[in-house]
Amino acid sequence: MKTILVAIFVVLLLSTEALGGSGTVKTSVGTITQTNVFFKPPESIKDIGGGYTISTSADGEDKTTLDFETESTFQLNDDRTVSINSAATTLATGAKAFGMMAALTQTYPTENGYRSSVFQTHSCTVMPYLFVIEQIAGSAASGDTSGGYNRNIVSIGDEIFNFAAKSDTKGDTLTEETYDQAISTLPGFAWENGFDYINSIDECGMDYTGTLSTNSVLLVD
Amino acid sequence: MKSDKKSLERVALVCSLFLLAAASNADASVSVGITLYNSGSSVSESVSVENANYASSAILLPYSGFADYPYSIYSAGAGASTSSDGKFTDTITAVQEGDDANNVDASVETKSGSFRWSKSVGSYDDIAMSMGVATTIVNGELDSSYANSDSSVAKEILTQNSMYTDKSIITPDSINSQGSGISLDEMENAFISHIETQHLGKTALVDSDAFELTDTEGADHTFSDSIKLKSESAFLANSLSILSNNKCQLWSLPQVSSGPILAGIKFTPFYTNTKESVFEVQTIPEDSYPMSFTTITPITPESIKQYQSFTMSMIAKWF
Repeated sequence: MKTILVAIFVVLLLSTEALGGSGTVKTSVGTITQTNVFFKPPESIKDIGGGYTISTSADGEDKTTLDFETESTFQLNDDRTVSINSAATTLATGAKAFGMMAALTQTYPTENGYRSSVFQTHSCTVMPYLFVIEQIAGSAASGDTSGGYNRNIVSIGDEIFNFAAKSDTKGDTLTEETYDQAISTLPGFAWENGFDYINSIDECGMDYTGTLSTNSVLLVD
Repeated sequence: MKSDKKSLERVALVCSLFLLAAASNADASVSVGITLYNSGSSVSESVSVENANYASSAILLPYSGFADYPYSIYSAGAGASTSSDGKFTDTITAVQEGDDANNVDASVETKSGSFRWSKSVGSYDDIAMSMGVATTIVNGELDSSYANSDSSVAKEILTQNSMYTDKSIITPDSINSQGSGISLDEMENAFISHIETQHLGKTALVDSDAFELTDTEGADHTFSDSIKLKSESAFLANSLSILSNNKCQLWSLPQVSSGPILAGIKFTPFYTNTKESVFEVQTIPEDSYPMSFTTITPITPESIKQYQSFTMSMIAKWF
């Protein structure tokens, strides 16, 4: 029997204008973090739950804005594990660099202690000139499956470029990237992204953590 | 004071010992056993070498504080391989009256490699001793073990088109071992590691393997291991990475165990005495299949460079 515990909808909006002067002053525009949310069913004597964190940031010149919107749901599975779905859309304008980090965490008790799993993803886009980027990032975890994606749409003037990455450990993709070949016309473009699957056991006086990480760096000369 | 000086002269004649064991010919084997003792303490050392040199000196005094020496027994020595196929075993046991015996042991055998080691042992207010070992193999094999009274570490490493180095320090209360490896060629390289650690009633086996079976442009690999055993804690860490270069791209083949590039880590914990599992065997990836890749020629425009890495890592701690 599945019990829906909580549905969370969070909309955060940040619109920040740089205070710097014109021209070459480089301005950092802040980071938004939705901190962990943890659940404890009343019928359980041990903690069962999870949480998520999503953080984005952008750097630019003169005027950089960052709009951030996120939505997540939590569901208890068979009184033991938690399903988490999380998605975020970010629009950054006037940026030279844009970064994202997201993580889902599950923790559940066992006969001899606790186990937990974490799915993390990160992405960073850098260019030598100002761009507008819309990123849609999502991740999901349920039981022993997890995965996520990030899709990016970059606009420079009238030109639009797409690039994306996705990953999951129980499906067909450990990691897969797609991008417009037209990116080759953007000298100085750099995109780094990766996924981490982290499983931890704390039982019988022994702590174990195993991590599988993928990372990719794409550069245009 | 005068009495002390006369005693020192008498003792110095018989108690400054210089010991040398050396072997320089292929397949030569030399062993030596040394026991130093006085009324308060005893130090025994057993050394065996094949294709290696070893030299040690010792000072033996009637008691600690004699002639202002802070120890009653002190010995230091060092050795090194003389051939790429060499072996040494060095076991030191020290005991002071009324206390339990302490020991530090090391044993190393290399094929296509080299090693050097040093030791010091002294009987002060307490026994102080340590042994340091450094090994390197290139396209070869390493079989080593390090132990004290409470714990032990055993490493079996095999490399092909790759190298591995290890530095370990053993004391009566701790073992610290750090190793790292890297491929030397992108084609047909392999790394096989089996490390067994026993401490505080638990034993952990860590198997880390990487195979690059293709003779076309392939991937590099890197490896590291870290073992820190202290009197009340144990820490293990292993990391294995598969790295692409700009000449090829890695294409993962999930749940296929026959790709030309394979890599995986297996962790097996059990209670040392009963052999019962602490918890079930853990693997990276989790599905017990090794990571499997093939390489593809980049189809991207020349101006696009892509570098990929897949890293498996584990950490274990117990108290």
